[in-house]
Amino acid sequence: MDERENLPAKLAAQGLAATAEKRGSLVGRGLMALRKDNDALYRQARAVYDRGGGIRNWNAAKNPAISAAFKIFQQLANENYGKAFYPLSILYGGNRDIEEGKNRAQHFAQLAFDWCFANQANQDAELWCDLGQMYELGCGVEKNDERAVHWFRKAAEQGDELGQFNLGLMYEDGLGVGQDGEQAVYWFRKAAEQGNADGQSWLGLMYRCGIGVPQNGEQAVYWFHKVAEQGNADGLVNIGLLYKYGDGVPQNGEQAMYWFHKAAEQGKAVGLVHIGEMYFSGSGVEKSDAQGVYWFRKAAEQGDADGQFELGYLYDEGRVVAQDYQEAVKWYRLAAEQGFTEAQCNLGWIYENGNGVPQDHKEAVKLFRMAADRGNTRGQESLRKLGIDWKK
Amino acid sequence: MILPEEQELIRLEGEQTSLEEQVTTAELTLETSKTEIAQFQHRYHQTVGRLYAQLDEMDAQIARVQAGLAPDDAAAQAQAQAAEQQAKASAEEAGLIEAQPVPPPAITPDLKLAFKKAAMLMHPDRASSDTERLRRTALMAQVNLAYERGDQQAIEKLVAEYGQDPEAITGGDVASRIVKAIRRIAQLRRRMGEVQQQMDAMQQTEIFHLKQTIEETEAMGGDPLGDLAKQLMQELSERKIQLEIARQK
Repeated sequence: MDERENLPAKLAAQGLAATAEKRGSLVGRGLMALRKDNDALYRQARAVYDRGGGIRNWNAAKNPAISAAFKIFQQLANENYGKAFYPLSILYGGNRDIEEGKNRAQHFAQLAFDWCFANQANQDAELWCDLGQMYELGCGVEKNDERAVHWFRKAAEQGDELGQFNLGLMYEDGLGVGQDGEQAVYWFRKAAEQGNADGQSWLGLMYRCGIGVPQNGEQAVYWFHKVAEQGNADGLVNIGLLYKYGDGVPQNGEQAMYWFHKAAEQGKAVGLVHIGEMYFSGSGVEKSDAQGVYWFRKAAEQGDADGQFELGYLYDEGRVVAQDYQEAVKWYRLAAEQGFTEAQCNLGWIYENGNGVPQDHKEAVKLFRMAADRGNTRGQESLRKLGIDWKK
Repeated sequence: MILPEEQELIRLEGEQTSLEEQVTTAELTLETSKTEIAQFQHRYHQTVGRLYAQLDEMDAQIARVQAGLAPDDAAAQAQAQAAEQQAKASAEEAGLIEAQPVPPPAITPDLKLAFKKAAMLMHPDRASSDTERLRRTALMAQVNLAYERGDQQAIEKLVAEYGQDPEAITGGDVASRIVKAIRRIAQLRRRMGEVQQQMDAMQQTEIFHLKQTIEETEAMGGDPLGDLAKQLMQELSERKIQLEIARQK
């Protein structure tokens, strides 16, 4: 303030007029304050993309976050922002709102690969990871697991958590590299220690099953807990499963139920399906079919695809409940809409056979094709049985 | 056996019907966007806009005190004047926003349906005479207002009161019906262009861009308005301290 008072009056006044003008309207100021550059927009959208959940099967009504990210990637791609091509390609592939999604996905996959390959000298582990993923999926380039491992390793060695997790997965599956549980554990741990939820889940699973590391229930629970702390209820489901099967911990039905309930409270209704299964099998609880149906239904009503499929299956087979194709169709349909391929197959056969619904060959083929396209072998087999080549 | 002119009439009337549907839908979209913008503006003002106005008022007060301390300093005087002007402009904008009626909390599908029904029924473009057009224009204006308030009952009441166009003529020979349909189609096309223009103009406004930016971020789990409000509150308390210091000089 004092400094300004010493300046020549005229100059100061000019400066002030300029500031006053720059402030503008209340709305304009909000716009200025919130305006983001392309890098910031990309990071925001990429954070949604990296969270994963549903990016391979989404629609705007049910996944507003993914839809918003999709729009940003599209906008960035229009401006030739190279890093947006790959996530955009994947999101086109998973977009259930548009018919020609596959073609668009293909188009952007090509752009993505060309751009990432041309810019591989950038010190950008995310870009290398994307390259690895493209080689792994055969997206914009011929599938090549060895090349995928090369890029994942490059990213992992730079300390990138996604690269570390993906490299661990390649070791675990023995894809493009000799299967090696210990190496898998090594890289999962690296990712997990950086707070990567997938890395934590997998490290927990390795401890649970004793692969590449001595089985250790406590360690498994520890890592699953870490996942849960990030607000990801998959961790809670995994703890429940640990107690349900007694992997590395004493089997404990009550404990299992506790964690499944907790998961359901946090929106993972699949926990309720596991509770239902416990009642059906009588593992850790007193066997009760009525309780089993009750929990399946609860999961299904909360929109869980597993629950919807399981409940539909009970009605389809007339197991425990009276056979009721109307009910089976209702629940299969809901699960199928969520991309649950087994439900698509079962629903397809109901239509093909005309069980409780008017026979509809076209609908059946459509459903089988959906499942087949997503790699479901029963869907592919069903099409073959009907004399259709699913690859066409 | 259908005569060629009759076929032409069927085609034209079909085109007319689908255009009518399109125009109504476009109008509904426009009205809905307007209402949503009003809702957003209200929310923006409540959380952020009024904080900006308060901030400007504080700045003006600080500048005034400083100008009072240095009556001979031209810079301080100019600053006080500029700050005063900014505060006044912001207060006016805030006042304008506050004077507007509180928009409805949500646009329900039922409300949309009611609007669509009303628009299809009593659209001024479909009047058969100038008197009827005037009557319809007045009614549609009321429907628009009711929609913006979210008042479904009012729309339904207007529909019930509307009755029928007394001068509506049905029938007529094929040739005159063809002429009528052609005229009507031209009219509808014009109307469609107007709606489109209004929509485009609206999408150019600052408030529209702000709404889009904020809603995008919110969809991805962010809270841009909350964050901005926090930042402004912080600035406000800093200004309060500044003012106190200036006053004690």
